Amino acid sequence: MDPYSDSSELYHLRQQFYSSRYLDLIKLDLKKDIIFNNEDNLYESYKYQIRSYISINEFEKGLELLRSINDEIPEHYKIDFKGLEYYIGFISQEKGEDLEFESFINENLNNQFVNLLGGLYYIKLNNFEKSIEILKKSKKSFENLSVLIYVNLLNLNLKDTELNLKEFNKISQDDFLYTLTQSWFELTKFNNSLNQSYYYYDELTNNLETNSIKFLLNLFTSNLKLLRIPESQEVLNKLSEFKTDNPNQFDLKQWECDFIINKIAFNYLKLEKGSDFEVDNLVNELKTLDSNNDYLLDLKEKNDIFDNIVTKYTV
Amino acid sequence: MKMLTKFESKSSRAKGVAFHPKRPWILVSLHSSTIQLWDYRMGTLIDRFEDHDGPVRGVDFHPTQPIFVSGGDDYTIKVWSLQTRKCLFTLSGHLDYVRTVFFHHDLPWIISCSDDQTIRIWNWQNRQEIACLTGHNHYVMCAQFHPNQDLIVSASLDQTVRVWDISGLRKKHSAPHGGLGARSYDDQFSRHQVPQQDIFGNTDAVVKYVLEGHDKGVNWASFHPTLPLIVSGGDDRNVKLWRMSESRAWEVDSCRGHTNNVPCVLFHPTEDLIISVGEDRTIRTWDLNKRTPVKQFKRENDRFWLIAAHPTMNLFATCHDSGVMVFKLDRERPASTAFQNNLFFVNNENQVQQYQYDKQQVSMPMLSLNKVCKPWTKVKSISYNPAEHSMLIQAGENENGVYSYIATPKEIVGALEASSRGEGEATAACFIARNRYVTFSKITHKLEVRDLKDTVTKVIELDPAVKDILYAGPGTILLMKPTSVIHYDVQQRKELAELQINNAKYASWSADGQFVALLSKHTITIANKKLESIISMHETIRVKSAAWDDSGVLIYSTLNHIKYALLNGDSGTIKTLENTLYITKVSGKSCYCLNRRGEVEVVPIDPTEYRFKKALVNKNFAEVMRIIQSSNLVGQNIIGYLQKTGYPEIALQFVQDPETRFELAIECNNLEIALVEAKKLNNPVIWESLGKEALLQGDFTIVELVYQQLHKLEKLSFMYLVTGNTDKLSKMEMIAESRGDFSSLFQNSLYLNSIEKRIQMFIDAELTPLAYATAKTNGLDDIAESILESSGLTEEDVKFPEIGAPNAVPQVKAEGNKTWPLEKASLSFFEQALSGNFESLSIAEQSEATSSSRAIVDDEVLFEDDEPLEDDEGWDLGDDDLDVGEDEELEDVEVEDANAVGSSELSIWARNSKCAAGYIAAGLFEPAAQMLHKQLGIVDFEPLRKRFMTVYQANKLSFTAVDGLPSLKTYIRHDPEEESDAKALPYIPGFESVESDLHEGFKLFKGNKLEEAIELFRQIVYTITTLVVHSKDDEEKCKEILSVCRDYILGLSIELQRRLLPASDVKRNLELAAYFTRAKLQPAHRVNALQVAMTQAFKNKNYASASVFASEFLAIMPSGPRADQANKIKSKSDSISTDAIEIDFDPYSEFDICCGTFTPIYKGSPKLTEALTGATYHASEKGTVCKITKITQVGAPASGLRILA
Repeated sequence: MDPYSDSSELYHLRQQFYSSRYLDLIKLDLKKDIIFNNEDNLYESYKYQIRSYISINEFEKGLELLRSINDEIPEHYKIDFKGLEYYIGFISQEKGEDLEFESFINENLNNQFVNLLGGLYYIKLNNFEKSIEILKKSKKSFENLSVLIYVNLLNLNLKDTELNLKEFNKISQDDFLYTLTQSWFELTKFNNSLNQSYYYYDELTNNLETNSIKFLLNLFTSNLKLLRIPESQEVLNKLSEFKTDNPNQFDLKQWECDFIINKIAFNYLKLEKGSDFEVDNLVNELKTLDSNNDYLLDLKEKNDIFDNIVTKYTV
Repeated sequence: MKMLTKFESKSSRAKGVAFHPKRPWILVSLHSSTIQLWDYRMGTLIDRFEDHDGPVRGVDFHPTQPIFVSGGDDYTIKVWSLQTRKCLFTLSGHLDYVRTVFFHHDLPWIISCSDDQTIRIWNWQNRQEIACLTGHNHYVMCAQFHPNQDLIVSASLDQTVRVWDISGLRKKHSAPHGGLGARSYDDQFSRHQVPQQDIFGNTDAVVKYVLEGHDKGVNWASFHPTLPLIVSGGDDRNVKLWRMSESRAWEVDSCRGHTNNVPCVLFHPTEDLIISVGEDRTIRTWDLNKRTPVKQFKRENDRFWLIAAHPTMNLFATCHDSGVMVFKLDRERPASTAFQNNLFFVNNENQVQQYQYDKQQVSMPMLSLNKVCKPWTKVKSISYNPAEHSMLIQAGENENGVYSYIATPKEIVGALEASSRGEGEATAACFIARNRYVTFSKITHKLEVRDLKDTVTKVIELDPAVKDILYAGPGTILLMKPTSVIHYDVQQRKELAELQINNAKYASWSADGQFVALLSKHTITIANKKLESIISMHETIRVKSAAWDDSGVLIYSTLNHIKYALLNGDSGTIKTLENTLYITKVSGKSCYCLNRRGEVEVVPIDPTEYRFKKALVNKNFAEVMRIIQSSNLVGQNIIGYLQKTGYPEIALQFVQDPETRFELAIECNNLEIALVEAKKLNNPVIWESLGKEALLQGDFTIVELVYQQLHKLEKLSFMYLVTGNTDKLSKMEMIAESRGDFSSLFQNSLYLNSIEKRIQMFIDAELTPLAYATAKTNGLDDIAESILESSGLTEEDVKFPEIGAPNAVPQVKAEGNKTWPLEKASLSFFEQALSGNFESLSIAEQSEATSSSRAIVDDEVLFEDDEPLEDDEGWDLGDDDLDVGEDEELEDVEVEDANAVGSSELSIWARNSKCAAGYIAAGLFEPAAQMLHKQLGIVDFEPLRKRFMTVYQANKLSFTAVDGLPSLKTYIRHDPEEESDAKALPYIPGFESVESDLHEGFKLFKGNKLEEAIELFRQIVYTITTLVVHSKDDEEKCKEILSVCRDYILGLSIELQRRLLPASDVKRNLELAAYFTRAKLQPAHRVNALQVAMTQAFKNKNYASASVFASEFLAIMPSGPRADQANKIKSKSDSISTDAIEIDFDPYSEFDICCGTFTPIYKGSPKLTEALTGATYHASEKGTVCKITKITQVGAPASGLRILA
């Protein structure tokens, strides 16, 4: 990839995609709104559009778009789009292992995009080892590297995370995705790194092009980690303002869940009266939204442990 | 522009001053006839020269020779030697005061001018006057040679400036080159030309131009160093600029502004500036091109007389009424900033250049900053933002200070004019994050936080004492005050740390951000990131810059040295500098500096010495060995250091000199080397020293050798005796015999028990009685008889005391030459290693004492057994049912993400926590419960469920990285700045609210909401039970609050129970009311209890008790309506003073109240204490659940609450 791709024709599209502004991205008529000097970029853009549909769970629409351009897809992009089709099939049906997709992935291990889809596929199946193996095959691809770093972070493999970030930095020239990926890492850390991530999200949320619910939530997270209460409240105000000003912005269920979890911590940090009551409400809200959320499962497990403790020590 | 004073001396009126061309010296001639020689860098007076009679007005150093010249009011010119510090000779000829004297830059000439209206030129080699220039018709105040042409400029009170041509004089006094035959054509041609003459036919020096324009006398005139320009200053208060061509000279312009006479003026040697001094007490600078004033500096009381410029440096010296002052105009430190491999700096053309450290390559100029700065201001700082590839420039001082936020070109194509994205007034500016920068004005004291659109997002009013700000990591800055430095969090407006330090100006952070070096003029202070001072060093020479090398050693520069400092305070010089340098980075053997010309200089340095010392300090012996073997580390300095720090054996490796080697060998107990060196030196003192050490070590071979060398035969004999070496002792006897040394022989014979030899010796010494006695006492009767016989005596003639058995010296069992160590002198690690014996050495073992962080990292390995034990291999450790207690290691704890490659935050918390709350936050509920059970005897955990969940949930966060994939977990630490996993602890909520909750409880009490109050006090108890505090004070506070809660719960519970009693149970009612008064409530609350008790007692005719309660009530509340009532009750009760109902309450005795039965526990009665709050119970309550806490068991074994981190 062009190391200065941040200044390429895809700059805005990539920025929108990674800022999770999927609806803005989908809205674009790629043939009318943008003139691509490099035709490949048109198909790259289609990929972003289809993936945006996937992100907002509009699988059918994604497939529809894919089919509408099927005839015009150049030969060297056929595998990419085929891969997308498989991926939609897998993700929409939530049926677990998809052997056909797996063999497609194995047949196209030299294709960076298929590797990316393969990486995502195996993460969904919790097969992190396989995911890492596949993502590692395309170390020049920014997104593959980014997802690789994510998997390592998820598995708390900090050594590899740092190593991958270094590799990424070497080829990225301060690319948007690199900085974003770095901010995930920094958000899990403390002190200067944490401060860096705070400023990064502050920057993104102050930019009209990149401001998004997701980044505001990450900014909220960084403030909480920094134990900054008034600032956290300020972000919450900004978030509701943003939602009011952008009523058509998509709010991913996953973000909402994170938000609730973080708000629970915020309630305890605020030291306000009645926080217990509010926390109970928040937990109930989370139950309604996603009853299988890991957080809830964890709470249940902890309550069970506590039950045992009560029984064990009662005289 | 800024005037930076470098030196000031106080004296009587100073009239003349001159800079030494190479050394940091100035000559100052005084009105008092003295000439002073100062070292302006050190601020010391080197010498005084007193030979003139009356004021000395002119002085000058020779540009190359160690001499100087002076001229004074005694009409003389004196030439002095700087070596002998004596006057070499005096040149006489002037007929009035000599005003100025100067050496010629090239020829052996001196020019002088005088009030006798002449200018004279002297040859100082043959001490002759070679020309006398006449023409001025008043005092000549100044005369100077042109810096490279055969011209002179003079200024006179006749209101003219004259330019003289002295080419004739040069020809006349120059020897023809290479003899007659070798003359060049030009030379021959010029000699045939008719030389220029004046009206008297004088060809040596002729007036070329007479410059008229001043309205009063002219005091000074100077040539421009390179351009055909002259500047003059006069009593008309004007500074005038003149221009010359080949044929004419004319006035260009005047600079008006001085309000009194201008005694001296000159051109800035390198910049387009004119600098003048005035009797109006000002120094003024003027723009040469615009002739407009640039800046003026005023002195309160002193008139200025003269100014001189250093020939090569940006330094000026001025004379005034009370001494002399050396100063420079503007800083010479090129502004710079380093980021990773790149250095961005401002060159002397005010352009930004980039330097790549790895390629050692400097780019062409990339940005011109001329339009960004105000005229005649210098760029003070650059701050670089790598994310935006932009820069923040700050230039100028005080009101002239500006900042500018500019983009850096992606490709360097030449010095583009910088276009500003944001600009304004500020005296300091720096980025604090990729999207934020701060600007600060010391005029307004405001710190403004700006985003990249230059919009102010926050304004902070700082303490007026803050003079500067410096970057200190993301979101933070250092506030530089005259007496302290503060680490300041801009986002939170919070002072993070403060260090008391005077006038710190610069800061250099180590690569890992753990240490900062704060530089003031003469002091370097190294502190950690919490601004705790680690070392502070004083430098006599001004400190200029500092940077940390790769290995974490501070490398700093002074005016003339590059030095190093280790964190333990060791320091040393690495290199002497000819010119001042500003260090920007140190990597390996290269020190990357900027010089005052705005260029990068890579100075090669030898890091061996400081790396060696660092390795030694850190006990990194492997590195020490590597350096010893791979480098040639020598010098007295390092040897002295090694000896001083207790490593003589290492020093030994670097030394050749036998004497030093011997001393070091002795110091490190190396007898082998000491012996070799002693043989070389062969000196009695050395042998003595060796003998002493060898004796201490029991090396008798060497001791023997030493005694032999020193002829210490007695000692030798004694040594043979104690080592049982009879052969050698016999030899000693023989030697003594042959030497005729009776004393020695006697002693040896004693040692050897050789009686006959001794008898013979007595006989030979004519001590026959002794010989006889010896023979007799040792049973040698034959010999005794023969002695008597030879003496002509019989036994009857000898009176002999009664003797017992013969005496003999006991003989030592032979030990031979075996050494007999008296002092253990084992070989050190280095001695073994240096002798090549690596096999038995383990460096790892020695280097255990390396930095603590390493130790922490290695902990697991260190404590890991070589072989995992399947079981205890038959050992009965007696731990089958071991109750380890509160510090028990939590084994096989399943922490979340236990399979993770790295440590999860929760396992880190579990590892670092000492309190139950830490385990709860880490999700380890069972170990936490176990701990609480053991510490406090908690048996009912149900009431703690909510608190457990709060502690667990309060520090867990989640955020989305990749949409659609699982969210990433992240955690809140107690200290978000705590980066080290070894110290990380979870954020535990609650401590901040316990106090306010307590007050809330009091409010409920006052509002008579007793049940709610009890519930709240109990919640506080639960919070404190599962809390972590970080100071002893906080711990004390918590324990105090626990007691308060206990007393209130007890008191309120008693009162609640009283209220529930049937009206018929009067006795219990009265008792409970009385006990309620014994709860340790706050006085304001206790009055309620007392009032209840008083009223109840009074109502039920227990007047004596009512009186007691009323008295206590009145002691707390002496006035008011309630007091009035109490007074009435008291007076009524006192009049009767009996109790109708006997209750179990003695107001005058000390007792506790059982929290279970609400009955008194009198002194001496058995009682139990509950472990959490200290609630007391009758012994009969043992095993019950505490009524106060509802969670702890009464009388359970417990070690006590632990909440201190």
